Amino acid sequence: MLNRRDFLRCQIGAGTLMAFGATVPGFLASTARADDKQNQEKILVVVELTGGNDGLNTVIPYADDLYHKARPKLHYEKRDVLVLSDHVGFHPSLRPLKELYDQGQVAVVQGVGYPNPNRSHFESMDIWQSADPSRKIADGWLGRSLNFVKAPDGRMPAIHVAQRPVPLALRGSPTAVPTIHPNKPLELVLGGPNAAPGGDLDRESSGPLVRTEKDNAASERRKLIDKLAEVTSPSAGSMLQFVRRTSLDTYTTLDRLQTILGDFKTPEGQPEFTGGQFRYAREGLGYELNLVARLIEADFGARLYYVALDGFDTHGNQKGSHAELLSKLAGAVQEFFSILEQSQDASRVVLLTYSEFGRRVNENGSQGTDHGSGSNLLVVGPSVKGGVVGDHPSLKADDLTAGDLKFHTDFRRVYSTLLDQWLGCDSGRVLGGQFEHLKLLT
Amino acid sequence: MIQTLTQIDPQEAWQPAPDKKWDLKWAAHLYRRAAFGVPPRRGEAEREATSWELIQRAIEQGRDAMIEELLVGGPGQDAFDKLLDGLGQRFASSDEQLDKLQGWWLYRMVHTPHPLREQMTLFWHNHFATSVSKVRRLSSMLGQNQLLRGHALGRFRPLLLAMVGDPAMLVWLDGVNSVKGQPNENFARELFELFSLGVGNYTETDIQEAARALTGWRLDGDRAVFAADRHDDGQKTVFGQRGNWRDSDIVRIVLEQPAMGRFLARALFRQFISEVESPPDGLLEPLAEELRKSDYDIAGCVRTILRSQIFYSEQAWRTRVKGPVDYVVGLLRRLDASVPVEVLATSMDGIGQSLFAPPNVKGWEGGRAWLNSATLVSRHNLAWRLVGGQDPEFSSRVDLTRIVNKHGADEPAALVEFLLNLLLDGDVSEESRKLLVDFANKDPGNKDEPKRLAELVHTILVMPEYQLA
Repeated sequence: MLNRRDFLRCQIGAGTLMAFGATVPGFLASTARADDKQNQEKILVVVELTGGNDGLNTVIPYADDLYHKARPKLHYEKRDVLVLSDHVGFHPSLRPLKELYDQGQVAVVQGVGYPNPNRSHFESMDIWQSADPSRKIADGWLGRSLNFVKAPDGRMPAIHVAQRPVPLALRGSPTAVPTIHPNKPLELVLGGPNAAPGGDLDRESSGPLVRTEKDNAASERRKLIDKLAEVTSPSAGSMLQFVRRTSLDTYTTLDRLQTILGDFKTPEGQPEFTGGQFRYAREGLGYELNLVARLIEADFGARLYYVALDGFDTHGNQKGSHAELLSKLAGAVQEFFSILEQSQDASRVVLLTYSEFGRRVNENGSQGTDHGSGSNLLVVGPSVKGGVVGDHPSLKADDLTAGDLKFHTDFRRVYSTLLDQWLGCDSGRVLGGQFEHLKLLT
Repeated sequence: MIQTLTQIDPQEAWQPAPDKKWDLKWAAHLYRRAAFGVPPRRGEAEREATSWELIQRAIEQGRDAMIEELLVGGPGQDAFDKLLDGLGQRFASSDEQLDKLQGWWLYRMVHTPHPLREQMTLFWHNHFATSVSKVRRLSSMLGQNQLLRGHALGRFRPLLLAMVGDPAMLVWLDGVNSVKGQPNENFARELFELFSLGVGNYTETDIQEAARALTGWRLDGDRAVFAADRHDDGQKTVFGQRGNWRDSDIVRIVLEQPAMGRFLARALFRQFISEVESPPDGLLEPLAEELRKSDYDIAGCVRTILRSQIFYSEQAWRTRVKGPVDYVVGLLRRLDASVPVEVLATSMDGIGQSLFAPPNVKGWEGGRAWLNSATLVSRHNLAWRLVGGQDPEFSSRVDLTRIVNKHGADEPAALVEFLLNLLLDGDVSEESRKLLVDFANKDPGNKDEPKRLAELVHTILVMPEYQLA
């Protein structure tokens, strides 16, 4: 018997099978799925590490005495790091990522940055997200890429999963980018406590989704609300137009999300994944990446997903908190790809991590680190060419800039590689210039 | 066609607007921006008055008098403050009661006799954005909140100096870890970048030197103490001035920078005039100059703004997105609702603004960033909880029928007319108006008038127009 997910796949990929509705035999569905996978669009997932990740204690130059001197309290010995090469190794908390690395699925790009580094969180984050160190461009590189990177059938091309506003990186897109709150209801409540718009999804049926009209008044009112958001008037200022567009996009997204995520069990009003085959955290990066995996698996259609992990601004007592953050990151990424492996989607997904800056080479007096520059980032996925890319920047005093690492790889080279070679769009039109590709993909 | 801000004459912009700019539209605009939507109540005599009556009274009494009233607040402040200050201390006594403390502030905003001061307290909370997520201690968060309230309409110099030694701030930006020989730059950087001057108006050296001058603070329980032995008393050079500086010197030097006036003027512009575009320096200059000349007198500057031509212009009309707190507090005040606000505190996160917990030191970004599919749906659902008449927490506290009966709006067209005046100042397109009248006229086979009224109100509350301030 087809389950609902299988059916959704057929419905979206192999249109001809749709006519068979609930009676499509399992072997046909799986054939349809295999065909689908070959033709499906590639996806980029971006994980923002907010606050300035300490790159030096993420990819650790354990073989360099200067590292141990600069970090008397915060350093890790060779016996503790997860060795990647005879010079660098992962922080001990990154074991799950080390496993992926050993399978050739992680590229560690070292010495990434931009000239005249800005040490303000907000300015540097804006630079990374706009991809413009001169600060003249006011929208985001991912948002701009959506002028060229298309989702099938006019579906939402990008999704932001978070409890916070859409980041600059996703702005500048021809359509608004919806945000999905990871643990809030995804329905508009218009009637009594249980009446969803247009009635509830009929969860008993294993066939095509059936909407039962439990509350006609609510569905009528929903139509009125849509209409009132569509009303245009010549005098409407740009702010009103913005709210109208956001409202309409929201209503459209709601309907689609309800179709895809409708079989979440919500015992306490909180979405929960079913099936028992995955472990699910209730919040945080792991939970958010699970939601992303679920959307990818169900062919939501988006090409870009954006999530964030906050807390990297480790000015004081950094050792424990930094280890915990890296552990969250590594666990979430491993779990994410293991879900996608099972659904045969992993090879069409690449995940990129980045942070606004690294931190000062010398630790400060509070057993923490202040804002620095020049750091590393990770590119993960079965389609990635694994390994360490570029040398670790020198820690010699003469080679530092105001106590910070010198970058040798412009961050836009990473972007241009992913735009051209992965998302298949002309990076020059997104970044406003050509940047030499890195060898990141197989 | 609306002019862009660069086309506006800076000298004229800040001149008082003509007296005739005072009707339902502009009075509602003033109160929405400066008083969570409703004028202060004048004691016992107006205890039962609806928000609609209060606004009508304000329109009759004239604009300038109403602005003066906003600046000083209404009667009964002292008793109200005394009561609320005491309650706040009780809620802050346990660090587990964040929702109660959030509810406490929401209550204060809904019922305060001095709404402009509360609005400014919220403005400063966003300006000096400090989060309980790192500070942990509610007593410190409350202390900072009271400090902000005390200086809300005062002068910027004592406010900034007080923030340097504020216990919550000392924890939030690592001032407690910043000692002689090992200065922590976190506070010094944000002081220049976010609290006073803005990016581009200082150097990395200024930050490092100022960080040295700001060393010496530690915490003794809840109290901040300046410890001379932790302070770096060497020579420092900040903005070209060399001396054995400490915190008060840094504040003095910061306030001497020409960027200071502009930075504050820009923040106030965004708060009161428009989030649509960033104003050119030239347009801000008269305001910045007034600030410098008055030793950064906040109340004076706010008065100038609230009387100005540009405030009563299309450049300011519906050019801000209501923030979540503005939205909820404004809605409750407009509907004369006295609900258990602590219940609302837990819903504020979903609509994007949890008090005492801004996302980072830059505060809530505001403007368009308030609205996305997740926050918009949460807003709409929260509005239904409040007005839908089915939520046991709220159903008996929001009395829509009383309001419409009192103002004689019973047949459908008049009802829609009244509600659009009450909630959208009558500024709605003919097409929207017609859709709503048709809806009100429809008889779906049930005679459940309160439900129909609730649906009509909620439909207006989810309109794009209502999301704007």
